[in-house]
Amino acid sequence: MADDKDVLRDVWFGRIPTCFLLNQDEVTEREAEPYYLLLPRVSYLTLVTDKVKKHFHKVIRTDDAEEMWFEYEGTPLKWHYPIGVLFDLHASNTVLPWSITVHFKNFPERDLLHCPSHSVIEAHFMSSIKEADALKHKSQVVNDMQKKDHKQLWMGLQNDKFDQFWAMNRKLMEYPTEDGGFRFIPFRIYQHSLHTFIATFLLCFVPVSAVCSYCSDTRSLSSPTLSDRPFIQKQFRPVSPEGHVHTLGDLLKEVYPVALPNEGGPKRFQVVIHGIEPLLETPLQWLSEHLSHPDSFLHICVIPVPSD
Amino acid sequence: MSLCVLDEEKFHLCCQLLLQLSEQLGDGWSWEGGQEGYLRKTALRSVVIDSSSVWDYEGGGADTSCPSRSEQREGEQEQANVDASADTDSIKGDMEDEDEDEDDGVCVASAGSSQLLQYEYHILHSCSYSTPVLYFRACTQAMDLSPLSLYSASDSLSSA
Repeated sequence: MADDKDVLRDVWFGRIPTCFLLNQDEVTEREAEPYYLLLPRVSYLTLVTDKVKKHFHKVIRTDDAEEMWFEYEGTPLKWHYPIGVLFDLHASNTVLPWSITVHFKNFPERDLLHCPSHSVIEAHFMSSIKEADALKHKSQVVNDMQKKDHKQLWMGLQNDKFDQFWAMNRKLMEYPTEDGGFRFIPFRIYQHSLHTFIATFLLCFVPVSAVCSYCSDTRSLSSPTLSDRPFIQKQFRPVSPEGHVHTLGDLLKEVYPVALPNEGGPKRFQVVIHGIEPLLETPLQWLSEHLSHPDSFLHICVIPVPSD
Repeated sequence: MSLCVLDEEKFHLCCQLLLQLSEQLGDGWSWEGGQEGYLRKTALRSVVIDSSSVWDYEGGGADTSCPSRSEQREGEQEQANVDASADTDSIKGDMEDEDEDEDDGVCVASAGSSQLLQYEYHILHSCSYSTPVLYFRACTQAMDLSPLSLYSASDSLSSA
């Protein structure tokens, strides 16, 4: 459908106007001008901020400079989360541009993973794709691809090439017609919550890419709270065995009912994907095919309804 | 490629068996987190650390065209240890065949270029892959717990 293809493009080309400011405590040789950038929602901070580093390296003492890291209103920003997720989670109802503070010292070892090169981002990205395909297709599609196909997915993201990326990604979005959808839907649900010791402790673990899976694996049987883990991830089918097509609302009811309003009660939370609130009646399979990030996961942010 | 799967219930069973054996052997594994928790172990080792701790990962993602090499044992009664392998794509070097059965010798920080390192291992069940996954961390004893670079730690990890 022509409309659906437009959705893919709109998702890919989503941008967040951002203002990068140098941390005031950094010692500078002259005044540091802010740096403005349109950040792609679907990419990762450390992949698209080489220019930011260059800009601020002109004014700071580069001998002292350590790995660059970012923070928003006191919260270190995890580079291994897609940029759009970080924005929706932390700053969605604030005035644009998004103001991010840049640091070159005191790297928060307990909160952030190091990102010494783009290869690390690639490994993390490909690992997410493979995990998503394990859920969708028992890894059959991604394993049938050649190394150059995997490289094409990464290069497409790195170089912002929609056609190059989707030429390969469409294979990951196919499914046998008789199944009506993927085996399980790859999704992660985040809530803006307090940083606890456990969540930050988990971030110190290697391997980088598996930290996310690790956090989702330690879930509790009782109604899941996000107080001690960064996100919820579970096995969830797009179609029930009886043929009932599952919606976004069905997913939330099953894995995170807190997000939904009580019977007749007020709406307390916004369920946000790529900065918008899809209708809860939207089929989950359609969301997975069209609103997933390039890593093949549906990243869903649950944030409190703004009080004003 | 045959896909071996270990569902969560079987994983729990295997973990309980491992814990029993671990207690008999004094191997130090514990269970954390209640109903849907994970296996945990910490260890101290005195190792020689390469002074050039540079995280050099020019190889990019691991060979991504291979099928998943995650392995796990079925719930056999007599198994001595759970051979849990990490995710293929993890940045870990050659960790697939790490033997969980470590000897807990006395640990002494020797003089010279060796350091006292703290290792922590978690084994939990991945709902995405339906296998156990090993997570590990190696860092210096310093309170800041700064993690070691991969290459300086990998030699000591495989012998740990």
